[in-house]
Amino acid sequence: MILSFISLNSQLHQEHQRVLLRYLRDERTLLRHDWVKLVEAVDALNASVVAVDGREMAFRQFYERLIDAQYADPFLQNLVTLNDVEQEGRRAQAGVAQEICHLLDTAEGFSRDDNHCRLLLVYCLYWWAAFARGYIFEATIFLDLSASGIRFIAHDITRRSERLSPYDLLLLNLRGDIKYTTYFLTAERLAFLLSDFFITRWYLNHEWLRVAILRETAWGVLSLPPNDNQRQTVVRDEVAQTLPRAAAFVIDSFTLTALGYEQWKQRVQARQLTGEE
Amino acid sequence: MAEEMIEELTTDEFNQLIDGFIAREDDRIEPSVFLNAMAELERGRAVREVELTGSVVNGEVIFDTPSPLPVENNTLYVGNLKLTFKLRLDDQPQTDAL
Repeated sequence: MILSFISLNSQLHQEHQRVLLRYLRDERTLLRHDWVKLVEAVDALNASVVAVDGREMAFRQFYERLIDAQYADPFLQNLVTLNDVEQEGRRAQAGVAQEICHLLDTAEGFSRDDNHCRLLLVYCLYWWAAFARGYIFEATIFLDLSASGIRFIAHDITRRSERLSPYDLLLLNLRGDIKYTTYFLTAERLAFLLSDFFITRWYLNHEWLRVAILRETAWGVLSLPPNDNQRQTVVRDEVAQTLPRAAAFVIDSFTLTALGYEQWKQRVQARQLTGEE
Repeated sequence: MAEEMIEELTTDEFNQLIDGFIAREDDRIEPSVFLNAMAELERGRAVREVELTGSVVNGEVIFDTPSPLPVENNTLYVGNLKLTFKLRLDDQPQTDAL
């Protein structure tokens, strides 16, 4: 592979490059405004251009054609065979990240002394980490649901066409998505998502708490008859203090209920035991 | 003093940075910080536009597929909203009966 030139998007400013470095060093030092800048930086890198074997492509295309196309399917096919998905999956993720480094390091025209090349490598590793962490979490949840005796239908993550399905699993006739982060909790994203519930993680008191977030359709199925008053209505920033107890909150026009993942599983099990599917 | 940028790192420092990132298990971030950042980004972005094309046949709106949003005849799904079109054909002026 020959990289003949890299042209950075003009929207990538010095401020973005500073926040990228801080993110790579220690993401905990980023404040709200820094996360905004980080997203802007990644957006700007998406549209930066690299010439590969004489053909120009955006960084995004480079990632899709040379990284995702080569590493995603084998990684996921291996992931679903692992006994300890989280631990072994992390090692496999790191192994592929090293392969991505090797792929670029051995490309003609690539040098770690060159800032443009450095940013291409950082870009690829950023998206690879996001991809791999997301599917490790998803595979972990699928295994846990199976071990808990919960009946569900999941999409097959080893098949590319199924990975792109509009939701990840189906249970109690509800559509569910497994989200590695809470990035989807905005009005715009919620408007374009079809799922009735989401399984995600909430970083709380220096540890990750698994959380279920339900739309009203899902809460209607999982609330306890005749009237479930076991949820407290709070503003979004108070959800963390209420968890793992159920907390109802509003984002734009969407009413959502967050509760601990274990508590959510208990409700699903109770519904499935009564045969209400 | 201005903060460093990636280009200012020595090669050894950059290599260490990459090794450290590869070994990092998770991004540790409080959702309140993250969600406020996402909401701020959303506010700053232009309204997202989606173009749907189609035709009207015998009074029914038939969207072209594939479509950027789930569609059926006369029906459009946006998130948990189902929008049903009930359009009149007003091609002739209506007159009150005398």
